[in-house]
Amino acid sequence: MFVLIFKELRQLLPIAWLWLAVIALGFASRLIGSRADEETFASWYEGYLDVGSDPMIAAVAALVGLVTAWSLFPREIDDSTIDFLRALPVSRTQVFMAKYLAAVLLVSCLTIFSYGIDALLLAWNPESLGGKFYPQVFYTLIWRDIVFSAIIVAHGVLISWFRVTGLVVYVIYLLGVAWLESSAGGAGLFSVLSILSNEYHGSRLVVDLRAIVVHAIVAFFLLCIAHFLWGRAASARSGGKQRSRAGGFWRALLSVGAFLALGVTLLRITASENGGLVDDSLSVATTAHFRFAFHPADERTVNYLLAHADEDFKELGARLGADELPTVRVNLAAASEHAAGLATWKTIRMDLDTFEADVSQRRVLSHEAVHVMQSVLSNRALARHFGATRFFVEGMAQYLSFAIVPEEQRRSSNRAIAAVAWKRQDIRFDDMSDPGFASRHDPDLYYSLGDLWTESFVAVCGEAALGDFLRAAGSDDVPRSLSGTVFWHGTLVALGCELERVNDQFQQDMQSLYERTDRSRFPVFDSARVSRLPDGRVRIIATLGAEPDESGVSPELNQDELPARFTVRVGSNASLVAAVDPVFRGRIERSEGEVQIIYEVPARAVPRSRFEYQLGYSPYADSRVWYDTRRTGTAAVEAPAGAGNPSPQ
Amino acid sequence: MATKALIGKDLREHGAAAIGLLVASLVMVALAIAQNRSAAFSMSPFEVVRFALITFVPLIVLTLGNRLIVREYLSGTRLFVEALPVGSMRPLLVKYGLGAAFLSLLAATLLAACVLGSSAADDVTPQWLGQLLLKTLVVMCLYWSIVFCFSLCGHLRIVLYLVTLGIVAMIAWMPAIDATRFAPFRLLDRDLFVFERDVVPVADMLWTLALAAAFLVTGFLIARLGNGSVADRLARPMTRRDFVVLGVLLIAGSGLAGVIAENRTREPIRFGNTSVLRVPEPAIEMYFASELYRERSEAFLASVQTAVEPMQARLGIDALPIVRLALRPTRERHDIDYGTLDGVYVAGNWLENDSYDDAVLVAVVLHGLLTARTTGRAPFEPHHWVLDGFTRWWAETLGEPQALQTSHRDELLTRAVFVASRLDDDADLVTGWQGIADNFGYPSAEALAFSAVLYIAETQGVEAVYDLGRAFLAEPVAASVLGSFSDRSRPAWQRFTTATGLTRDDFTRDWAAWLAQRSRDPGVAGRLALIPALDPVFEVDSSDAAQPAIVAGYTPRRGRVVSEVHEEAVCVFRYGSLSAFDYEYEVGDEDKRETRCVADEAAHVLSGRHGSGDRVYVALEFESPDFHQALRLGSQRLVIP
Repeated sequence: MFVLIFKELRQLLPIAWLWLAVIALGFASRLIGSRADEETFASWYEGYLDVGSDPMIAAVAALVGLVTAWSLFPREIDDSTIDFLRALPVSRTQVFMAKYLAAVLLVSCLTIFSYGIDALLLAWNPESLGGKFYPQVFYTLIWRDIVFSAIIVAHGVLISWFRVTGLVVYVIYLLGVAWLESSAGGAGLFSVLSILSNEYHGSRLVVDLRAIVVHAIVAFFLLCIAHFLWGRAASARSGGKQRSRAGGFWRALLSVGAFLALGVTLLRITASENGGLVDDSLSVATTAHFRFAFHPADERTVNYLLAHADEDFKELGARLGADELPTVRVNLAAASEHAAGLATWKTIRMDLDTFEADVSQRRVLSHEAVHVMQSVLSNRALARHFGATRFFVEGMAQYLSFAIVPEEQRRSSNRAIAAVAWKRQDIRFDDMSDPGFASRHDPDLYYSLGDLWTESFVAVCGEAALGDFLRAAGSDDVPRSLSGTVFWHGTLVALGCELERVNDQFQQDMQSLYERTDRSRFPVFDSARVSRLPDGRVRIIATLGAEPDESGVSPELNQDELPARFTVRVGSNASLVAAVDPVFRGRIERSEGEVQIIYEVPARAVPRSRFEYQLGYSPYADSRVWYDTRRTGTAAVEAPAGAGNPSPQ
Repeated sequence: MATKALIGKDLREHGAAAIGLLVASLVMVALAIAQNRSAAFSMSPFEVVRFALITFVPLIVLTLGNRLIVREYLSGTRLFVEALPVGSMRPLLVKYGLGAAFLSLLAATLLAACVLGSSAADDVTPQWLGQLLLKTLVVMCLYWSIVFCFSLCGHLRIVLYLVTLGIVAMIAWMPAIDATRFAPFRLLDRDLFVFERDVVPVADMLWTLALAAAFLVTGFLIARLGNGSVADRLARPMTRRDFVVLGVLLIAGSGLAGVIAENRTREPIRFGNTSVLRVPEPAIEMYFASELYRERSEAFLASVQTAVEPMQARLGIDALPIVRLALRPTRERHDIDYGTLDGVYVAGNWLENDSYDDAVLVAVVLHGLLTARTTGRAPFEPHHWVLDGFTRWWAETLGEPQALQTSHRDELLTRAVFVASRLDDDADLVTGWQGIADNFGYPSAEALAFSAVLYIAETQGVEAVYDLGRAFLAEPVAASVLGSFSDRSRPAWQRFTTATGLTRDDFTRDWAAWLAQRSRDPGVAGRLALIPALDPVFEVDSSDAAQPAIVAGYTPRRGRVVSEVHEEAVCVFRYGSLSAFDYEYEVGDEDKRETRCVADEAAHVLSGRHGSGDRVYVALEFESPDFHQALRLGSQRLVIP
């Protein structure tokens, strides 16, 4: 057996050289661009050690396993060299196992080799904090990666029997994972990538053992099937090709049939959800600048929009100094849990169920139309600097849409929420222009804080500066790879305006707004208790209190003016696609003069023990939600002994 | 007739696989459309066309090239075909044509599937559909031409694919390269590919087709060069010499890419012309917000200029980056923004500063300048104490020891003595700087470093301090592993000894003794008595697993019971969440709780903010009108069990 494994390892040498070259190039590119002795454990493994999993890294790891597996059997069969092996006095099972073990051994050695170099480089950093090495994390990464590779090699051995068809099936599997993550918020154990999902307890890396066990069992069964198939595969010289041609017809027919059935089913689902091309259920109406598609049931709202759309768009064009206005296609029949509207280039989609009032729909249309104009006038420059400009992208859209379609009550409630968050969370321009803002604060603040910042911007630089900014940002003279802060400074200087002055104005405006805001409507969440219920749901009990005064003393909470709606937003578990954090409602309970908010989160939203969440509420009727800063909760997956029953609804 | 026969042969050989690929593509497209339907931010099912073009279509084209060309060239069966009386070009043209026809069919299928998945809202018009089909065909033509060309390169094709992949990745992801300036990338633009209906990207399509034609012609040249001998040679397994040549080419390519990446220099961004003061040499700009603040700002600008100019001369630095200072009139005095990404940028409020606060801010500017000068090496731990100590010493003295104000000296030495008295015996400036700054805060760590530099100046003379600055802070260090090697070739203590004439042991011992003496100076001793005689204590109470609590407080310090704390002084509890791994961390101002400074082990209780497994940084600080900056009593990194 050992001789066989060595023979296979020799045969895998070219692929080993290939991976070594890739590893060498990877190290070389990093060492050329940075001083290795300043790399910390976290910076060296940036991305790979983040909580959750990175699809790009998982894809690379999977590719290594698949390519290695691919080089085990197909070529032996095609070149008929498998016949020599079968002539040896060893069983086909031993040949199969030797090949599989050799592949696993190879990827394991490469993994250990690569991590070994990492360890040497990290040991070079002498810093007392930055130079810390984390043996538990390091060794856990090594064995977890090896297990993942072994599982992927097992997949690869099986799919390589089906050749290209197998590869296509694998791509379909990954698309299925992405689909599940989009539609259900997470693919759970269905996704093999969940093995690479990171979770920490202190500085200890916690692996998802359930995922590993499940996928190891699946891999074992796949290996058994692969053993069965490869064991019976005849080489080309021993008539395999002829036989395979005969059987190939049926195999091809079966594949085509199965593919067609699946394809037709999926297309039917898609078409039925969408209405199909010949879709009589949607009506179409056009104006000078818009083409609307909508459900006939929404005709009243659409008529209102039709009456104002062009006029509003012209006003927008005038405010932005646009010479001409594009034609915009608007899908008013869209349904979305996540946003009232979306815009991409000259296309808008809106969910008319988000708001009741027609004027709100009109303002959403105006908001999305601003995004269209931002893209057109800046030649999509703001998208290139999206992380640094997102607050302004949304803020300008809010500012202009509210200016064109006034909704004073909604705007003032949004602004009050922004002012309280600004003060309590000490949000600055550098925070807003940091791409990580949404992971630390409420992403909805992009809209309301952005609206206020845009107002300060206009106060300092003038209303014409909005359009000028877009044109300046889109100029060919502007380098495309500027950091966020440099981009902001440079673009405003090009306008003859000063970022520092805008930020000064913003600071003063926000302080004044905060002082004017009735903070009794903004209670604070104090402590929160997190536990898992026997049915798997996670219960969060948060205590509500009044905002402390300047001396730090909390007055009595006004229980007559409590927010009407409480929500909790839980961090998403998607790994392959961009998903929105799910939101769940909470309820108020009063006991012994204390006000508690009870949230019960479905088990699927918290598949592992630790999770991130934000507590929030709507301070005014029909207003956006104010969210507290992110917290981390821990709820063991197994229900703790003595955990209480779910409380009555 | 011969062409027909050639087509028939390839169809018989690859027809079933082609149908399989087509059907599989259809399934993938259907699945992608279904995923698109449920995705949070999708706009149209036609986005799947672009998705397909950048994901699985290249794989399909690769498979096509492998089946149609590579197999015949590697196994040598092409010689049988070429032996037929059909000419040498026709078989290749047939193969290219067949591949192109298959890809056209694939493009049509792709679009047809999207049309089926679309609705009236997608406004599918013949013109737009035609435009989309044209763009798709152009991109597929490029893919097929590349694969066609590389497939004729035998075993070399793997390397060529890898190199192409590397180039594509470099263009797409390297910040220095603007991908939108290259036609194929611009054609596949995320927004325009699907959603632009009014403008047909003729130029982009022509450029892409020209690129495709270049690959196609190269492919035919390879196939026909020397009557096919080049293709024959390439089809043979590669020798060691081939590998070496390729290795050299790859390394040269990587080096070139590195050079391109490094050469992205540009002029730093400057302030505009409103409310801005400027000094040409050394280049300093100051935004002062309003005419109300001009006078005070001019005074501060002068103090920065006065500090920078002689430092540059003393350290022999030929050029310094531009300094941009921004006034933030509503900020707290020591609330400073600092960056060295684009010159040196410092934002803060100097309006109410006294001379001590000015020195703090000037030291920050010098810190930024020397950090930028050493291309970010100066804050590396073995050098960091020199950076902090030297810049503060320079900001206080401008290189002239007699300029040091007594009150500044006393306050800084008080901090230094306070920290030194709480340090472990084996604490070392070179090997433990991050820990000291982490535990006692940057202002106190800076004061400790200042005391070390002051000691050197007083015992070895100011020239020794200049030499120290020159040894650690004056030379740029390459931002690559070579920089690490060259910098580490001269160990920090060795450099220190060369510059100051002091050995590590002598310096450590004598400086500690000197500092102990200073603690008896009246100005220092008086200030030390103003610090509460308290030690911080931290604990995690996890008796309630659903609601763990952090408890922080103060215990009386052994051996010290007398203190005369200012009546306005407060003790402050600060906390912040940490990631799983340690790095230099400065806790923010947003999360803090104040209390009177009295012994109470449970003065601050923080419950329900963190869950089990969280890492939290907690610190207790003393804020008093007697000290310009908060004095950190101690800190800890806790893990909630």
